[in-house]
Amino acid sequence: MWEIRRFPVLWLLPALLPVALMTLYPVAYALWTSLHSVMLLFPGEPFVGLDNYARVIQSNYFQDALANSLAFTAAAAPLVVVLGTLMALFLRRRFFGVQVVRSIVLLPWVLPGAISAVLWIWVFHPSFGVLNGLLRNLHLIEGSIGWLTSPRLAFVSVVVAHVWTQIPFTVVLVMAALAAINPETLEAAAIDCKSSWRRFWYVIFPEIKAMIVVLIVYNALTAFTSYDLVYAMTGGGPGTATTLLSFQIWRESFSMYDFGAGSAVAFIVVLISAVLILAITRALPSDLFGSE
Amino acid sequence: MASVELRNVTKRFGAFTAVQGVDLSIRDRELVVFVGPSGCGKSTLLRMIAGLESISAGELLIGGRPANQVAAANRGIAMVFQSYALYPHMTVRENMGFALRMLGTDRGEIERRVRAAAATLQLEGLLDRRPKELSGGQRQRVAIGRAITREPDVFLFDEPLSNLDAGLRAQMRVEIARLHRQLDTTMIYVTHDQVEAMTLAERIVVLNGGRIEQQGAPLELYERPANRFVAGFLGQPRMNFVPLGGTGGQVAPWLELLAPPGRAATLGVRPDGFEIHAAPSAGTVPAEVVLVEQLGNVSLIHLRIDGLPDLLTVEQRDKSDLRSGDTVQLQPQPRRSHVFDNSGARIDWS
Amino acid sequence: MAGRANPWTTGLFAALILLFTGGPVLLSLLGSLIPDRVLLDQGSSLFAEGLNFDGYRYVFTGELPRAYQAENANRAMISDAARQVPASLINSGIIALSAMVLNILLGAPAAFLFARYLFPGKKLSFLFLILSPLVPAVALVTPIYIMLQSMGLLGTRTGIILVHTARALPFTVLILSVFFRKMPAELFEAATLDHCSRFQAFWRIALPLALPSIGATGLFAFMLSYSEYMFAMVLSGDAGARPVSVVMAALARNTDVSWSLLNTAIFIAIVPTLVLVVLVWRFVVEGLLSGSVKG
Repeated sequence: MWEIRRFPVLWLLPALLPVALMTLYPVAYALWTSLHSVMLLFPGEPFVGLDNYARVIQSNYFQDALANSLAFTAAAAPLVVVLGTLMALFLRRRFFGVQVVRSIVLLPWVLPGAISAVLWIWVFHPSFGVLNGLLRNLHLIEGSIGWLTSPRLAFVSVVVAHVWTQIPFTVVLVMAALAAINPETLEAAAIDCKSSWRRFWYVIFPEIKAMIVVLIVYNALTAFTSYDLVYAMTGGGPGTATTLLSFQIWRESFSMYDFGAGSAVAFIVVLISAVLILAITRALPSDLFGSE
Repeated sequence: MASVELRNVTKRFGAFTAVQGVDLSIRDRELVVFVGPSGCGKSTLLRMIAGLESISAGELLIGGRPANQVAAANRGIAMVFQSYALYPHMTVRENMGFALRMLGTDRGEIERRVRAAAATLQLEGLLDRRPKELSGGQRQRVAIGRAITREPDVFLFDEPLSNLDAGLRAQMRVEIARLHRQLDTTMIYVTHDQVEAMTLAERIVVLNGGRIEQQGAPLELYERPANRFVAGFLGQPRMNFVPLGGTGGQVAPWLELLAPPGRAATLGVRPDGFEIHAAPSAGTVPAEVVLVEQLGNVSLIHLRIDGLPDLLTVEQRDKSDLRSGDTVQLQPQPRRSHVFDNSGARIDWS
Repeated sequence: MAGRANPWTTGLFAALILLFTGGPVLLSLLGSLIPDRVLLDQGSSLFAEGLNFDGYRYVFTGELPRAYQAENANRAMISDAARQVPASLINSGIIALSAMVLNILLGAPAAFLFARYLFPGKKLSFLFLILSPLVPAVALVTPIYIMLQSMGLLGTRTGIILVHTARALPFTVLILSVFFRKMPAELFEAATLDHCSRFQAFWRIALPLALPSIGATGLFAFMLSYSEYMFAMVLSGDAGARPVSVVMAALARNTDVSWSLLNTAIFIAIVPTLVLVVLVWRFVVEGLLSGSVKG
């Protein structure tokens, strides 16, 4: 690799400047706003210190939302990674029609969240959803199950829909990691290991460990900051059963016009995200980060 | 055409010293081969001459002028890479003319030079092909052709034949030797293959651990290796080394025969430097035949002498009647025996 | 991996995967072709009245589906939002294409430098790039809204393009630098000896060689923009700049809208993504899987 003595402004600024403009400035702005009382309905922006934070943290809404977001993350992220890895392992095989299956798997990736939401409402709708219809036709149930109207089931439903939207990305990256394994290693494993589980655990898994860690972190963050899909499916309800933290920011800022409180929630989300990343990367064996 | 001179050249990568204080002067129009085991610093040395690696300390002169600070493109050198490094998206013609095009040479002149180089290398029919439509040998020739069109003062070759199969490698070796005569230009050639070094070089520079072990004409190095390393590195099959504790131990009869000075620590004899006798006599040591390899024109006999750590390899002309388990009497020819002291340096004696 | 597996289990797994990932989309296609009163009637068979394309006709021509003309009460189920779908697709196309082109223009040079050079500030700027997407979008919405408002870009495609470009750039730089790093170093050493400046090495060697990868990365940026919802919604306002994700969300939250019409809109919005999926598979995934630039 060659060295350049000075920072290559002309080469890097076109990429760095827009990102800085859309990240650094807003974060600084959010920090400032979270320390001031900024409400559309009241003129003036007096400094209020940590009042916004205190107010936000004490509200019941916030505590519910935080608990929901953490539960949502804890349920969705491992599910996406496990299912995605299984599917990737399966799709590495060669069988008739595998190309078609591989393409279809990507489908949820490119759909806007709102569309995915409608598709899943269509599946889970209590009165005319497909799932209830199917169960009725199989005579497993009478009447209907409130997939989106019972708090606990609504939570399960949004997790399923979220997992559906996130799986393709994970499948693709795990497949890429699998493709990077030296084929001779796999052949050796096929000879040495009798069971396919051992083959996965002792040979394949160590090779894709790093990618799995990245995906766990990535999926935890996506789940923790997810917003549009869940909101479009349930509007945060029933009650506050599916109200996530990100939705809380939205509500404080845009429906209550309390930008100070909204920014405070936003900052709390950023902080918790940072803690999440640290916690996950710490909890996993450190040798995963040895190589670049 | 130019001379190349290195004065106390050193290369450090962090704490690791890859090349240490190399002094070397390469005459105009000379073909010099850098040879050594992998990691010996030979490629680093070449890349410093090319300008692809900076020089940590010391001085480089090309054509008598200091070149440390001259950009790689302006050193008047051309390089043939191990992987050829042909531009995959360009045709052979574009590959060969690319440097000239970057210099702003006019089209007619580029075409003339590309055609001349193509004619030299029998590439005329392939000018409009892309690298992936060529065989390994053809790619190799295009890589050389790309160097030729630049009409450099110095050609640098970085293990150019190591990606070819054995037959093609022998053929290209001859071709490069022919090119050197035809172009009459300074060439520096890096290889780890001592056969390539022996056959191509006017002068061989043996490197090890970032230092020059010895330099000189191929046969001079073969016949009078300056130390144990060079002796072991050049020559195939490898030279046999026999440790000579104080009185010579198991091979004491050889000491009487050869009478080396007392500080000799190791005896080195090439496989063709032994005589095999059926009956014991003065200066012979009994050895057991372990394995006989029949190569047709020669036979390699692997022998064990009790108490010696390594098997000895002896080369005999034609096929051998010996079998595993036979016991023979072994005697080195004094004129073809080398002795080295404790530090590995050659001792001249007799 | 050897494919000695039982064909029946293979088939079963393949069917399960297809059902899970493709099922909801297939349902939507079916739903778009069947009138509401059949869909919502638990008693009747799905195909009682056959398939019809009335929903599609309404979206593109404004001609009311027969099912609703007959019964006045159902007129309320027709939403004008459904008729915005074609226009919003064009908006989405323009926005996503612009974001894609800008991403490559702005990101490729930086990716090249990150992949092949050492320079002061490299670690810091790279860290900044890969960490910036970790700031959740919700935390940025308000400040960016206010910033674009002061620039007069609210309700315009330009504003959305700007934000989408910036949000995708870190990924573009990251992916492209991986591709650039995979190119053999000797190629660029040869270029240096052949009198190429840094820019010429980038322009004449790296770019032409990376063309397939650049296409793939561009598609990735396109997808990020096409499916992005939050910024698109806040920044497009009520104006005609609304991309398809926003229009679909509005349609989805309108509880009165006809299900078959909703499904029609969904399916129309999905068609471009179906095309995308095929393209993405061809270029991004196959490229990622085979993984090398052949020298």
